[in-house]
Amino acid sequence: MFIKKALQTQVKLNVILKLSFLVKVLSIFLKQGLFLVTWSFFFYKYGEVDGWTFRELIAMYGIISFGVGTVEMFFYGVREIPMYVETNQIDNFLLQPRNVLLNIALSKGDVVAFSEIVYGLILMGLSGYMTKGYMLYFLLPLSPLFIFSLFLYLSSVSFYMQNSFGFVRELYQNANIVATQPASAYRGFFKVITLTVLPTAYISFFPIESLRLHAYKSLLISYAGALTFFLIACLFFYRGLRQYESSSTISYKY
Amino acid sequence: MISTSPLVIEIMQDIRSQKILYHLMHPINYCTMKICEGMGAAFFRFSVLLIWGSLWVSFIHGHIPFTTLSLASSIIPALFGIFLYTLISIIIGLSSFWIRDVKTLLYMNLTATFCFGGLIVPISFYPPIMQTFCSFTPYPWILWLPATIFSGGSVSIGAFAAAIGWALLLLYATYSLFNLYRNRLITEGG
Repeated sequence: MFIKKALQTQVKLNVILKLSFLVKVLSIFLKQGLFLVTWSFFFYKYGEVDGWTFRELIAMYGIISFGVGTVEMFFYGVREIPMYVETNQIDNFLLQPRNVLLNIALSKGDVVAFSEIVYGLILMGLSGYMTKGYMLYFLLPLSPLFIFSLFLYLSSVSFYMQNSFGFVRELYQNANIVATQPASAYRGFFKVITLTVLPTAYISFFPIESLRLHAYKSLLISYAGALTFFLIACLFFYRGLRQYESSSTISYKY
Repeated sequence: MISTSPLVIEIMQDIRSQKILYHLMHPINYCTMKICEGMGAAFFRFSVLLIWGSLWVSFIHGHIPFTTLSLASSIIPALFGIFLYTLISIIIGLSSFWIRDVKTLLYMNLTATFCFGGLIVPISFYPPIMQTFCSFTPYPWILWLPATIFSGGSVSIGAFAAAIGWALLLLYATYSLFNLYRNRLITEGG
């Protein structure tokens, strides 16, 4: 009931400003289109990167777009944690008799992100993997789980650093860049980073390898990695929450 | 170079919370203040990241990828690139008066900088028609121009002219948009 009401409110809030809604939808399509057009030039020239062709890249973008869209549509609040911490708005959630993390996550939703979900599905369809076996369907729940964990993990940094709004924003951007490169190209030290500190390999490298080679082992690794990352992100959040202090400063909601 | 202070978010919040009204009373233009603020923060970040980035590249490739001359000659184009990016950020921030939530525009601008500036794939890989299209946007002058000089490449005088042209155009757009916003602003009935 609480989730339903929260979502209904978000839909109304987002659609009421028509121009804003339209600009957002257009921006999302343009943004994603630009990335793909740019990469198409690269693959036209080089053909493949360690076994990955443009098709794999499209599938990877599709999976990530689907995950980002789902999380931003329903749980945009996790991205707003740095702003909540900076403006002492966490107090509003702590006072309510609900799960803090779920309450924060559902506090905001972006209906426009629906276009990102549609875009993700289109890309997955274009990649050809939707009709080639059923492996891709196994990856659909994995994507939002990982993206939720990633947003939570990066946002929770704001509990440990003061005035980190800008820093977390840069972390998002860099994580996005790392996640949306042909992951097969990462070697040595960078590969270790994408498996540990910024574990984007579980959303890009392993899922695509499972599609490309039809390898269940890669699929299992993806799930194991994403679930572990989710638990770590939750722990990181709750540990950070214990450090949160607002000195009872009066805050207001935007 | 594109690691700037969160100007767009700051302006958006100033407009939404009407905090901008306090700035309007100050004896300095809000846009000028934001340009200086953005440039100052971006230059600091640029200096730190230049050292950090060079160390990373030398760690990967085994040598520092620039000479003292190329570094010195790329400072001015880099500052100019930061200036252009700051102006675009201010324009996006100010447009939140009409569009309200400009976060997606902010990310689209970033993507356009990556793609048209040649950060993901070098512009020379693009087909000629796309290269021409890129040259009509401000993004190559933000990233490609300083990067080419930095890596010891040569650029034509036309590239500098285009960068200056874009700076003038964006400056005009920034102040015009701000004046339009100020004229449309109605607060507390006044």
